This record gives sequence, C-alpha cells and structure tokens, in this order.
Amino acid sequence: MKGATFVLMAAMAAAQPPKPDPAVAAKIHAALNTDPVLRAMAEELGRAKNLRALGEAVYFGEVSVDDAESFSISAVLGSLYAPQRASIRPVRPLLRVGQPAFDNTGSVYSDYFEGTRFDAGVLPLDNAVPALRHALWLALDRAYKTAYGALGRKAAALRGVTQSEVLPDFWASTPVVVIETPSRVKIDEAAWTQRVRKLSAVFSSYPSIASSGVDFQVSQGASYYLNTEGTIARVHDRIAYVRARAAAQAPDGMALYDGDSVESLDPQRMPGEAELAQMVEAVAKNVAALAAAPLGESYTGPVLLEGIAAAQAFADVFGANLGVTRRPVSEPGRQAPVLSSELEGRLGLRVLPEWMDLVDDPGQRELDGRPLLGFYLLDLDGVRPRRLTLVEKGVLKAVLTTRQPVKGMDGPNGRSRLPGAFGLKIPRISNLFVQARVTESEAAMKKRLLELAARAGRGYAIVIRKLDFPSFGSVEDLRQLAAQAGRSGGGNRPAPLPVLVYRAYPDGREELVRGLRLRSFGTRQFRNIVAAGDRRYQFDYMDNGAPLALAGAGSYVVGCSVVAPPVLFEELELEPAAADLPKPPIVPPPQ
Amino acid sequence: MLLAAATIQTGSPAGETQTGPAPALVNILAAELERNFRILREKAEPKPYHISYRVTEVEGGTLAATLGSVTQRNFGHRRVLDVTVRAGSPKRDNFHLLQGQRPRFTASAPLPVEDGGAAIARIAWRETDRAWRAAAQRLMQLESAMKMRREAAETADLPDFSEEPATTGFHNPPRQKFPAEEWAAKLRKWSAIFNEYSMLVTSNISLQWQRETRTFLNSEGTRTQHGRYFYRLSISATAKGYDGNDLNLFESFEADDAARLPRDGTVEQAVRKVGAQLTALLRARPAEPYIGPAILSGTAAGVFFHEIFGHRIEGHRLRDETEGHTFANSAGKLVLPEFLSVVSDPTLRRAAGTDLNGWYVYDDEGVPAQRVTVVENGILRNFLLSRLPVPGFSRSNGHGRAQPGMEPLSRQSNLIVESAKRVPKEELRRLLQSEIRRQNKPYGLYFEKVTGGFTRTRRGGLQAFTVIPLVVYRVYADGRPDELIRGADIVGTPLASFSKILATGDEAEVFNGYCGAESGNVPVAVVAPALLVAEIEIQRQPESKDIPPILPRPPAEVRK
Repeated sequence: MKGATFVLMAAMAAAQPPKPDPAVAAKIHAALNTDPVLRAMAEELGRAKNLRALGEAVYFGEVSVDDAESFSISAVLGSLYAPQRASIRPVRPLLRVGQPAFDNTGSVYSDYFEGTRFDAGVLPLDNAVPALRHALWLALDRAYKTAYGALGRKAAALRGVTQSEVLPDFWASTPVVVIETPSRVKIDEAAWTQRVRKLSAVFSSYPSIASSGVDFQVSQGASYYLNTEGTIARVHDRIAYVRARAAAQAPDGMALYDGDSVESLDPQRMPGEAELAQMVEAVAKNVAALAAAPLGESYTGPVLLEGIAAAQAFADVFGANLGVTRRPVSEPGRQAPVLSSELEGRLGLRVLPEWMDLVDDPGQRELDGRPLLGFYLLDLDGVRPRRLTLVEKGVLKAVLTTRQPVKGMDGPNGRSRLPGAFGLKIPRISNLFVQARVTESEAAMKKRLLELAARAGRGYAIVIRKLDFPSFGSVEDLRQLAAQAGRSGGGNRPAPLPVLVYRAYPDGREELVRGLRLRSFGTRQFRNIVAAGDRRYQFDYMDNGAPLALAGAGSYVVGCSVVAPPVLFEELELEPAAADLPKPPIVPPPQ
Repeated sequence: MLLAAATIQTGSPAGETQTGPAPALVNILAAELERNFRILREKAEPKPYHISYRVTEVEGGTLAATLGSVTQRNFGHRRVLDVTVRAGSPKRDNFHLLQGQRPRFTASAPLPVEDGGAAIARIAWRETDRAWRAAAQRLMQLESAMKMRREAAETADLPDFSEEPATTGFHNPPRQKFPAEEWAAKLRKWSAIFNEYSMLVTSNISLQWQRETRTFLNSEGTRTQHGRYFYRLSISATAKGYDGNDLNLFESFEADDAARLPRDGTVEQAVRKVGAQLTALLRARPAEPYIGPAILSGTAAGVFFHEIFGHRIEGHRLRDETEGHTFANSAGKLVLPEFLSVVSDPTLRRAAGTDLNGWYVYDDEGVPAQRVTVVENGILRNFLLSRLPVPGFSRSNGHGRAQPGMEPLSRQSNLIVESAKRVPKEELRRLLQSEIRRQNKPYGLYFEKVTGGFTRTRRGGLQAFTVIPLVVYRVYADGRPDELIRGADIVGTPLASFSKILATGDEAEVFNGYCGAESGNVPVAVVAPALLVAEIEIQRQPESKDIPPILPRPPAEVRK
C-alpha cells in the first residue's frame, strides 16, 4: 500500500499542472489498491523511471497492458472449425531517454535489442502482484537497454548527416485520469456457434463458389495505460464481428472474391440472424454474379462511387494518408522502406473540392441511432482525443498526430491508435465524416455521370458500388496489387480492387463487369470530385495497420467508421487487372 | 538436423486402441480421393498414378505458470489435410531427388473438425487440384533436366516409389478427460517454489497435453487411422552470470497418460534440483577446450547417438547426391564397436519405466510401423526406410515420417542402443579414472544432462555434429570431488567418434524429444545406456555478454 501511494505522488509531482483534485486522487488510490495489474504497473514504472545506470536518465516512460479474452468460431458450408478461446495480456513498455528534442525513438534502431530477452511480452493471467511485477520488471529492463542502445546508434547515424529539417522527437501532453470498471458481458457461445454454422451453409446454394467461410469473433477486456506524466487509465476494450468471405473462378480461370463484415463495440448489440444472413447472401450473390460477368475493358472517364463505395474510398485513401509520420532515421545513405503519406507537406493546400470538409470525431458514439465504431476515450499515447476538422473548404487544415512532432502541427491530437515500429504509434482516423456543402440527389448525379461520359465520347459510364476494402484477398493478391500500382505510377500503395463495377448505359441499363482495377488511385484523384449525393452512408471497418486493412492481418485491430455521401469523379482510370490466369480445375467440384 | 528436448507434438495412447468400422472422415475422403483420381487419370496430362490424403488432428492445450501465477492457458483443436500427388510412374515421378532439391507439393489446408461432407470434400478437391498442378510442373521440369545429367550408377535404376500392400486399420485412442483447473493449481504451487531461488531471472513450469489422430488414405486402397495421447510436464529456468553468460536448465516428464505423470513429491524435488543446480552453475567455472575421456549419461548418450549415428541411417540420404553417404557401402560391415547393437523400434511404447515419444502404429505413408535391427553386434544390417527405395533395399520398413505440411522421408522413431559390454555405474566411473591416468589427463568429464544437438550430413561442408550439454562435471582421478563446469559443447566428426566407445553402463535411460529435419519435426526417443568414451572434444559455447537486469528483482512476497 505504501509503495502504491509513493508511486502516485511521484507521478503526480512530475505532472503539469501539479494539483491533483482530491476526488481524482482518491479514485486513483482506490484503483491501485483493488486492481493488481494497475498496481504492478505503477510500482514497476515507478522504479523504472529512475533508471540511469547506463548514464542516460528516463525522461518519459509508459506501459500499456491489454487484458483480453477472446472467443472465435469459424465454419465452412455448415461444418465447424474448432472454437478458439484465448486469454492474453500483451504488455507494451516504452522508455524514452535523451531529451524531448532528441531521443531514442523514430529510428530503425529504436526497437532493436541485442541482449538476451527474458520477458515474454505478456503478463501472467493470474492477479498476484509479485508475478505481475516480475514480468513488468523484465519488460522495462529490456525497454531501458533498448532505449539506451537506440539513442547511441541514432546519434551515430546522424553524426555525418545534415538533416534538412530538425524537429523534436517528443510532444508532452497533460495527464489524464480515466478509470472505467470494465465489465464482461456473457457471450452465448453455443448460440453463436449454431449461428455461424448456419450462416456458412448459405453458400451451399451457390455451386459456383469454390471456397467460402464465416467467422465470428468477440474480444473483451480492459486496456491499461500508465505514464510518467501522471496519466492513468483503465478503459473498456471490446469488439465483436462476423465476417463472411467467398471465392470463385470464372470460366476463363480468373479468381474472384468478395467479403463483408459487421462489427460492434458492444457484443450484445450485434445484428440479428436475419440481417447477418442477408450480408452473407449478398457476398454469395456478388461472387456468383462476378463469376458469370463479362470482362471489363480499359476505361478513362467519369466514375460514380455509390452506396458505401465512396465511404470505402475515403477510408482507404484518407484513413491512411491523414496520419503523417516521419521517416525513421536509418543507416546513412540507406532509406528505410517505409511508405510516406501522400499528404505530407500539404497542410494549407487544397486536397478536396472547396465545397467539401472532413471532420474526425472520436467522441461521437452513434449517428442516427446507429453506433459508430471509432469511438474511444484515450489513445495509445495516453492522450485524450478531440474532434478535429481535418479539411475545411477543401483545404487540409490538420493531420492526425501522435506524440511524434510533425511539421505544421503543434501537439498530439490523440490519434495514436495502432502500435507501430520505431518506438512509435500509428495514427489513424476514428469516426470520419465527409461533409459536402453542395449536394445533389442520386438521380441527378447519375444523370450528370451519363452526360459527362457522353461528352467524353464514351458509350457508357462506370458506377462502382463496392470496393475490396478492407481487403478479403490473400497476401499474394495484395503483393500483386502493390506491384501493379508501382508499375502504373500509383506509388507502391496498392489501390483497393473495385468489386462491384457496372457499365451504366444511356438507356438506363446496367451491366456488371469483372476484372478491372483502379489505376493510380490516391488523394490527387479526390480533387476532381465534381458532385456529392444528398444521402450519407456509414461504413464501419476494423483497421490493423496492414495495407488495405487486409482482413485477418495483424494482431491488433481498431474500429473506424466513415460516413460519406456518394461522390462523382470527373475522371478515373480503370484497366484490366492483367495477370496470367490459372486454368480451371480438370475435376469438377464435388456435388 | 536438430534434436531438441522442448516443444510440443504428438502423444501416445493410454490403454488399448480399438479397431472398428471406417470412421466418417475416412469415408468422406475416400469418395473424394477416388473421384479425383479417376477423373485425373482420364483427363489430366501428365497423369497421376498415386494420390494420398493425410489428415492430422490435434486436440490439446498448454498450461504454464511462473512464480505461482498462471501465465498461459491455451486450448486448441485443429485438423489439417495434406494431399500428395505422384505423376509419371513409380519408376520416375515428380518426387525424384535431384541436386539436393526437396520437392514439396502439399500445403496443409485446415479442415473443419466436424465431419461435414460438403466442406471436407470441397477442400480436398481444391487441394488435389493444387497438388496435381505442382506435381505436373515438377515432373515436366524434371524430364528436361534429367536429359542433361548423368545419374550416379548405383541409383540410376532405382524406382522413385516402392510397391507396398494396401493396409486397413482404425485404432483411435479413447477420449480422456483432462482436468485443466486441477493441474493449474498444481502448476501454481510448484512454480512458486522458484521464489526460493533469488538468482534466477525467469522460471516456468508448463504442462502440454494433446490427443493426436492421423488419418491416411491412398489410391492403392490403404485406409488407416491411429493416434495417441501425450502429456509433457516441463520445468525450466534461466539465469545470467556475473560475466553476462546465459544459463538455462530444464527437466521434463513425458507420459501417454496423465495418470503416469510424476507425483507431487517428484515434481517438487525436480523443481528444487533445477533451482539449486542452476544457482550452482552461476558459480561454476567456465569450461575450457578439452580433449579426453568422458562418460556420457544415458540421456546424453542418447542425443549423441541420435546425432552421430541416427541421421546417417536415414535411407533417403543414400538417394541424395548432395549427401555425405557415410554408410552407403557399409551394409554387412562393421560400423560400430562389436559390443553395440542398434534397433529402431516404432512399435515399442515404453522403456526403462518411461513412455517413449517415438512410437506409432502406421507411418505417414500408411505403412505399418516395424522394428528394424539396424546394427547387430557392430555390423550394419539395415537402414530406416520410407517408400523411397535405396540401393539394396526396395521396400519401406515403416519409417516414412513427416510433420503436417511436409512430404514424408525416412526418419528416426525410437532408437534403442543395446550393449553387450555393460558395467555397473561405479565400475564405469573407475574405468574413466583409469583412462584419465592412462592418457595422463588432468581430469575427465561427466555429461549428466544435455538439451539437444545438431549434425550436418551433406557434402561440401564438414561432416560434424554438436551436442549441447547443460550439466557437465570435471571428474578427477585422484579422488577430489567432481567439479561442475559450464559452457561446454561436445563437437566432433561422426566416424571418428564411434571407434572411441570403450564400454557402457548397465542401465538404460530415455531421452524424449523432437527431431527437426527435412520433413519437419517428428517426435522421437532414444534409449541408451551411459557411455564411456576414450576421447571426446568440447569447445566453449557461444556466449552472450549483455549485462543482467539492472534493477533488483521485485519482492517475491505479497506485501499486505
């Protein structure tokens, strides 16, 4: 008890401003005394922050622990894979040595530890303080040695280099105290098992689908965060989702796939079975229709993104690019292979039409009665996020920031949402609202689309109703997309494949085509949006830091929502996703 | 090739296994195998002549605890399908070994754990198509490559696949209930004992258990299913010396049945031994490079035999032109001292009071496991054989093994070293002391405990082996007490080592472990007596030099 109080006082003394509200202090005190995880974190961070044995003092330290319990179940054509149940407490320590102006983070050496690693990266599952402290002691010991080694290597790498622009390495923030009492809801595993089995059997009625599957996963628990500024947090951390995917081969061998998912931050508010069956059915229909659809041809002209497709496009292109991170310091003359944001250096410049705004609001829990997936109280840097106007009248006003200073911004805005490399976090959007000051009805947009196509001399226009984002392709599909993007001048960021692409003819007829991809699709194309619809669509997804938020990749996911109207691009380029096509199997599928 | 005493896989059966009618999984797979085989034979080019389906099903979990707290609690159940397609003919097929390539056509597809016909048939169909494409591609590449090469005379006329009769048999281990929470309480109690050893940096006690079932079908009509339970209790700890050296120690107990795992008292004693011995190692003198006489305990001798001998009797190495062919022309000749015999016996489930890790009913090519006398009174009689014929041996002897996702090759199972020159422990020690004096050495060595080893069998490199001891003593001839040393690796070249074995102890010991080689990790065991060798070479282990944890370890007791 004494130790805990000591830590609390020490942390508070370091905090700015240093006057703890007695009610808050009492709350912290109570939490430290009743929660062994929090207490062990406080005691060990309290010891580690005084580390200076190697000659460098710790000027900032933090520890995060996720206490997660998950259950997942998958099925194929009515047959179950075994359920997976896991309990895990991953721990992420970070100690900063040096000065805020120049520290151990932001270099390729930042995570490199050459000694023997004794910590397992996770805490014990039992709640005994001594064993928890033992694990944290080893984790923080490695963090300190890693930080010390990285600082030296980073300074050495920069010794012979003149940096074009010197920015500090750390933005401080104000202490925050958030103590939630996480409650786990009871998951009816048997009911979900039965539901997933049933949902997966939907695909049985589609013989042309070669492979398919349905997954359900729920993860719930608490996220802990503690830093030497005095921030102390224990917040709910829950997410549940159902995901369906299917693939087929067209008669010419082309592989086609689609997928969809439904997520919720509250496992008890997942949609009912009928709605889920509808989602699975839609995936099945899409894949079956694609397998029978004609091949698309190269096209340059107006493109209308309808339904959720526009929100998906904003999620992919702006979701990743709005977070600007600095290139890590590396070996002189050797650049680390890190994609930089297309929006780097574009603050104050126009990135969208002057009648469009982008607002990111993590504080909003729902929209028109529907929950938003990007709600959160505190980011991974222990910073409380606020509502941000990112683009105003088409001009980029702000970017998403972490504790890493970036040019043009003056502090962290609480968008550290994913753990990243180089001692840093990855900034991501939360609930992104795409707002149009000028809108049109969808019928008017369609009319305009056809007019633009006629003016460009096209016999038809293109309407896209769904993109493969988050991608349901394989890692190999993604690699090919990135290579194609590189060849056609789109940088190395793969553009999402359009799944539902229609030729819209002047007589009102529409025809689904397959096998097209967007050629160079990035922020630049968004400047030639010429119209937006008067209805908005909400698209929820889980980001994991992988390109195209590849479904199933990564071990850490974060919920995001994008709310956007349909948009009409004056000109986009589509071309056949040229690749050698595998021949269809010699043996017909089993009945 | 690597042998390690850690990690998890496979298990053995408790009681009797039963054979009965074909399980549902076998029927589903059989129908799909036959359908694919028939249509591919009609329409594909090149045609497959053999298809096999192998399903590995593992149910199990891991519990682990450190310092009185549970750190890991995992349960899993999975099934994977491996499809093998052979195109061409048994005389020359897509598996033909060329230039040291390790052809692999399977890709281990996860299967539902329920016997749903629609899902399993569809996955099998897709995987068969994929494996056939890969097989056809390699066969065609091989045909052109072979025209530009001359084959070694001794293997040129050997077929690529042996003829074997079809086998049918279903032996499923009956289900055992595993009381995980009872075991969690025990692990908490045992792991808390390590609190008494303040010099340790980490410590861990884990219990892994699993029920593994292997199902095998081929286009020749073989239909088998067999499996076993396996439990492994591991105790491990690490420490860092004042000089930065890492030290670690472990103890493990394996059993086919939880009832045969050790009792409380035995485990507590083992935990204390690991704690005390590791603390002693921290103060022990570092090893110095040395050549001289030594005793290898039964478990150390087991690893030594597995590495220097076991890998060189794996038949497929005789078909690979990049391999060293240590015993290629040695059948019928003396390869070990006359008092030693070696048997590979995958049918043996228990020896020296311990359940063996390397037993099975059928190998991974559906061939029944067979006891093979490899060396009889020093003379090489046989090799470990899969369905890949080698010079002088045209049939499998049930040693084709693989981990899921790999293609089977000839591998070890339970290697049993038998001796006709057995002496009691004390006598073996006296013999060591007289050997020390005879060679005029300052001391000899006693290898009590080893963790594993590795060897190289290919050409173009040194034919060498390493065995990694954990507990080694210097033994003096003048009656001084034995002295614990640390940081020694046994190194050597295999042929030179065989001739130096002088005598053996009279008690067999068991080393249970996992052998990693070209076809993945497979469970193995070695049963061997202690060995007295006239000459063994040790070298210093690679060392780490980073500093120990900076802050003192947090207090072990809960402060109230």
